[in-house]
Amino acid sequence: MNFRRILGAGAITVLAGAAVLYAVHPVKSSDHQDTYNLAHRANTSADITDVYVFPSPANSANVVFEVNVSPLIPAGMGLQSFFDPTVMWQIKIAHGANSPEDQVIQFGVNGTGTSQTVTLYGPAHPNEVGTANTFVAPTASFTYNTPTQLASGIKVFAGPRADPFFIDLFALFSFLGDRNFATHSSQTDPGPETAGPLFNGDSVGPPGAFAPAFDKSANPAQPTFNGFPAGTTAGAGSALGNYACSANPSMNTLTDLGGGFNVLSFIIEVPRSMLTTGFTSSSIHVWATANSSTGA
Amino acid sequence: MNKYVIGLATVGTLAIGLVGCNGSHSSLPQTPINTGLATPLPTNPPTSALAYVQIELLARPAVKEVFENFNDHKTTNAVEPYVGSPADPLQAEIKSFEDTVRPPKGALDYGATLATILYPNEIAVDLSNVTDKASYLGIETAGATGGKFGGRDLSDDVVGISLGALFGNTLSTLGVLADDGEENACIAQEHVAQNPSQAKTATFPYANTPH
Repeated sequence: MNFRRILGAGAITVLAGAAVLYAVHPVKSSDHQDTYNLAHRANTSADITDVYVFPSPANSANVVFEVNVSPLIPAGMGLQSFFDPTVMWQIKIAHGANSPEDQVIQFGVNGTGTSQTVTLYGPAHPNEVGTANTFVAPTASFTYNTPTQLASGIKVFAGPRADPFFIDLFALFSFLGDRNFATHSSQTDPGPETAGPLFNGDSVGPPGAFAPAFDKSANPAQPTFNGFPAGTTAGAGSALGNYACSANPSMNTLTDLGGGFNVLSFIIEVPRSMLTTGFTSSSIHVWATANSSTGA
Repeated sequence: MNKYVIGLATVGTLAIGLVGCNGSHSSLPQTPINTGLATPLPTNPPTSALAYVQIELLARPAVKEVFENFNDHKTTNAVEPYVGSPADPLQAEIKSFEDTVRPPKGALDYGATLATILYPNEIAVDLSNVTDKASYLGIETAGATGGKFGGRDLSDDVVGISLGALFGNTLSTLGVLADDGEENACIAQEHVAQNPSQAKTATFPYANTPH
């Protein structure tokens, strides 16, 4: 999910309220982030929203990795959103628990706009482990928004897709206001967390006009999601008290506002054998990173 | 280079002709076009030989985002997911967050248990499993979330799974810990389902078309 994707509610409110404007006026950085700096990059494709790993629906011998970036691209704006050529995206794989990566899949981008090309590197042993990385040998290049088949059995895609994630974001913000990007004014601003360790409310930020589920007056000490039958309570053993749960309607924030939101996706289908041959374990541990050539 | 690209709508005779154009690039993959997919371009890597510095990290959903104070994300984003404390505040914040909503009760310490289960913050996958579908936390729960492949499917209700573990009775139901009686029903589920427009498709790239 990425509650981090959990954009600033202020941002999503702007998106919802200005949805009509998007058709004629792209809003390139109107999204959420999990850091202030990621939110303020001119191109937000360094912000990873979700990571997926699943068996190929078309070939059980293959596995699919999907890394989504650039959160909250408004409806109709997918094909006007592109990748940042200064960024390296990586899928890191460790064939063992609690150990460094021993295999990487990397993506880099050349150019801008619809002529943008994407290069796949790996799967291969990394040049180095840790947080400063270089590209391994390139495997193939392909065009933005064009599903491509490689001779090795790999399929690749990089381009806009519907964001598959679902959450009632405004309900979450009603009691975890600190996770709302809009409640922070800089990378060093601790935001509402200074008001208490948890459930610090939404003392700054969004109006509730565009989100029926968002109750700005909610008592942050009595956090609740929505959609409960009337009379439902937290429970006698709740450390926060036995209070009434919200019966307001819940909402899927990623589809119920402004026609839905998109992301930019890196999707790669790989024969499982490429990830197991030469390794002692077929159990892998996976994470994704975005690395910057400028370090910022 | 774009002459080597074949759009999804252009297959058959045109595709075969364009593949032929690749003859001057003998090192390139030469793939028959029978899948509805385009052929690769000549490799065109970014020219920078610099080391790229990590500025973002993500694996399991709803771990860093729920447990960790927003302003600590920048620290966790810049370290490896297995580095541990003190370089990474995440594991300690998993426990401190959970302790607030679910204080330890005798030997029943849900915060400590979750900190052990959810850290390192990596997605576990069993590639030898060719029968089960992907299911978030499938390995950690021995298949209770839908299968033992693990990983994460595009349709997985990761918020629901996470809320049940953090605030509901998921861990006691699975026998990980005894029931502490401290469940909070108001935050143990969110009553949101995936919209059909977000659903996985049957053909590559599987993720649905943009809104």
